Amino acid sequence: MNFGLLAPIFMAGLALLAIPVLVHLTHRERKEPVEWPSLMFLQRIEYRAARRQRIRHWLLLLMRAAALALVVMAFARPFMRGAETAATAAGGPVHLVVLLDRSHSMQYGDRFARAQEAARSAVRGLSPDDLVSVVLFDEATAAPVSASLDKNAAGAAIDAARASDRGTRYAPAVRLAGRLMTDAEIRRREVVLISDFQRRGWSGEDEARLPGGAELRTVDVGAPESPNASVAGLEMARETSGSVERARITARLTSTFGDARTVAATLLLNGREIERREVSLAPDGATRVGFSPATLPAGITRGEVRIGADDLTADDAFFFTIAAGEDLPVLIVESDGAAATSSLYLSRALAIGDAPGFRTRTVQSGRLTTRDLADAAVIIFNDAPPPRAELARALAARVNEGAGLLVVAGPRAEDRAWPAELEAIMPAAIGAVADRPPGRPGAIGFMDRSHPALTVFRAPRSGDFAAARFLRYRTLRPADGTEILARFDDGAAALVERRAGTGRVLVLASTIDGVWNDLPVQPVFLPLVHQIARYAAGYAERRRWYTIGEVVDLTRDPSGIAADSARGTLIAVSPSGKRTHIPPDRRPVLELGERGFHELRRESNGRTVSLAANVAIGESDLSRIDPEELSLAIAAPPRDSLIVESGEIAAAGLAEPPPERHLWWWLLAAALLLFVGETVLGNRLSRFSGVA
Amino acid sequence: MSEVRAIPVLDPAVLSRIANLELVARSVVEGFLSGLHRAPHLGVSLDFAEHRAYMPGDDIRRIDWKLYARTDRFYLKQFEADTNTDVVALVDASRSMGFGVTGATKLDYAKMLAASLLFFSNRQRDRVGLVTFDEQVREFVPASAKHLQTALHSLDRLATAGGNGPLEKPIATAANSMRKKGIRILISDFYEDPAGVAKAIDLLRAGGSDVIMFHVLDRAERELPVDDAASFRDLETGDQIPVVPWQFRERYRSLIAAHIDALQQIARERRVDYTLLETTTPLDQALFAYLSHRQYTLRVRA
Repeated sequence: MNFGLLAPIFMAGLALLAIPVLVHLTHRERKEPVEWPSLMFLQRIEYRAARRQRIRHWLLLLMRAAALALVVMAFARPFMRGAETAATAAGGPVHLVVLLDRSHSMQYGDRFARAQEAARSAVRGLSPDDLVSVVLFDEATAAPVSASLDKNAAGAAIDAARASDRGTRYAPAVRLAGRLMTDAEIRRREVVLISDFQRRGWSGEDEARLPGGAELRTVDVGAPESPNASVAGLEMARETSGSVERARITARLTSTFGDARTVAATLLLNGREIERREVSLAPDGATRVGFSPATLPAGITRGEVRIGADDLTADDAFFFTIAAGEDLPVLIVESDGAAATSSLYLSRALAIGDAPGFRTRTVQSGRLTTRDLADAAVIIFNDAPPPRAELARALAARVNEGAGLLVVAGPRAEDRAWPAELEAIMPAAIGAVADRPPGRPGAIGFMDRSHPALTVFRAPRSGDFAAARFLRYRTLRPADGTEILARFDDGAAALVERRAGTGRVLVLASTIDGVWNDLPVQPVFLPLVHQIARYAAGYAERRRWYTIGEVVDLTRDPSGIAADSARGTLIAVSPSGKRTHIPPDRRPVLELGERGFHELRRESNGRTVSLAANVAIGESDLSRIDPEELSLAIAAPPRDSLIVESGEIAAAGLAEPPPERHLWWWLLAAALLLFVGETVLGNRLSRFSGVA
Repeated sequence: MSEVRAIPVLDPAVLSRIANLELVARSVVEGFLSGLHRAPHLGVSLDFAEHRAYMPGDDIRRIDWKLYARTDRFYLKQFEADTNTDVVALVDASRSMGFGVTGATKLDYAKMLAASLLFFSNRQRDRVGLVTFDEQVREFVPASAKHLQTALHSLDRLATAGGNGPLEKPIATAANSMRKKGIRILISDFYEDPAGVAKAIDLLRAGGSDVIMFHVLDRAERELPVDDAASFRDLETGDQIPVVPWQFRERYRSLIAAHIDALQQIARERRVDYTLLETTTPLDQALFAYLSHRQYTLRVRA
């Protein structure tokens, strides 16, 4: 254990101990004589001239002196802590932790090379007894060398390090360094942080601080000004002309150069340059550059927009994938002789869609063929009579394979007319027409907004269905296993849904031509139609690009490559050629750590799926944080360097001190007890000393 | 022998606050007697004491014939005597008896002790008397069965005076006044040369009387607890001497212990009961010493 004093100046108060000694030595001779019954014995004692000063009542003196000493020591604020601190001032081996920033921004110019050299230099300065840890960090952290005496291994790890495409986060690296130092139990701790100090890497909310005793040194390889131009993002618009599908690509470019400059922007599809344009970048601003519509080949196309190289090349290219034929094919079936406006609202609504787009086709029920059904992802029977038995079988089969069916029950959707082939998949039997009393139209009274078909209305005030007035609707008798998504205000089912195989069947109890209700002219109509169509088709959005660091759940990829587990291990190949094997029994997730195109394929299947990954947009922001500011935020608490020992300030913060135990309270308590004991003893003694 | 247990009410410090000395004596005696398993009743009846084997020359009228019938041997019955006696308390009232630090003064203690003993004796139907003295006899109350109140009144008025004279002189005067033998209770602090004390004891025993010595001291007199160097003045003579207590203490304690030993030696040689009492000692201890003496001296084997 180790003792220390927070206020040693008070120890001078020990001089007060002279007071009780003097009191005990001082014997004031009584002026009044002591009356004694007889001097016959005292007279027989030979009187010797003796020194009259003498310590008397030793026990009382010791109690008084001890109590006074305890009070003085209590004022000196003593504390006790473990033996670790005592050894700190004596030197010993050093544990050096090298925090080497390898984030995307370190690719700027020769920053990473200079950072590696600084790290090597720090390692070279160590003595053979010192320990070294190397921590490489970007958004993630790794410690290839931890608390090792092998300096060569540390040097090799530094040499092997490469700048990544990930962003910067200082807090996890600081925490890892703290854990390494704590585990190593070396009292002298040093941390060298080598970075370009990108402000984006530190948030004021990050709770990361080095352990006590750690001495932090920063090596700044950045520069006050780091002008950079980057491709920040893309916008895509599709154009369809006949069977030809074109994509209009617009890129958004940013620049932090202080002056306007012209760069070449190039669009590449499947590695082939499609178009090159000269672009004048606005100083410290963003610029949009649009490319001419490009015809999309069949399948998934890998695209890239590239601008002229600057000191940071990693964000000068933006990768994406785009697939032709991503629009959902929707088949609208009308009754023969239906009015021209019967599907007007529906088709207009579907024509607006972009993500995804809807490719609609309208046929009359009498001309419906099985081929029409085979091409459609969603079939909408818009107040059409039930199909014939042959078509009914084909329709049921198509739905079971994954297509969606929406039945709009209008005046021609007779209950008894539906063939038995569709009975098994229909969510409800369509009953008679219900009329609302004149002047009292019906409304949607209940809606399951948590259902995927209505999830776009989940947020508060995201859709007012109460405004839609329903004058007439069909009564529905839901079958077993049917889910009711909406009800009218009188409790009758308005929208029901049922799964059939991998497909979905929905029945709407009223029309969408604006005759039985005014739903088509309500603001909620368009998102409702879009969401029902997407849901019925089982549509999953296909991401055109990802951000580095994202973990992709491949089960959600519409290519279905993750579901094809029967074809063996899933193999992911990164842009640098690194392969990742995902066995069929493991959840197919992939972390994207490199920019570019990642190829996915099954072990025994030649089909490949490409995923594009880009650097996070914010990582191109090279604004800096002051190294001093960051040091203050992560350095060890200053209290650790204020330990006073033996009247001197101990070496600042060389070890995390164990918790201090302050003793002043106990000392005062002991002094109080001694004073009480002294009072009792003193009274007892004075009872006799007060004779006569 | 009967047992005695501590009676808190007999604490001298408590009793000294009671002004009526008779009440003090009554409290002490009755409290003491209530502590005995069996109150002895001495000298007032012919109570059977014990049997003794017949010896040639014994009076055959004292043979217990009933016992002879059972054992076929001759035994004599012995009885306790029925003789009453004179009990006289001699109380030293010299100035040295006015000393007291740790409780009552020695004189107060002596007065309570004497009163208690006289009261007790009177209950036993003894005749009681009192002598108070310093360097000479100050008051003399002859022994009588009716003089208890007179003796208590004298004790009540007793205060310290005089001193610095040999004990032999007032004791001789008192002894000459007491012609009938009895029990003499001498209460003093005995600041006297042991030889002088011996002479005084001899004077008291001259007529065949039994003597009981109660040596009353304050604890401070034995310990010399004074810390500060000071002049000590003799209460009786007024003489002063410088005293450094821590230098004198051990020697003083040995001297007074030797003095006590000498007094005890004198008592043993003369078959006199000696009891050392500090002013903090409960009075029942003194009564118990007296009772023991009475049982020893008054038990007469017929």
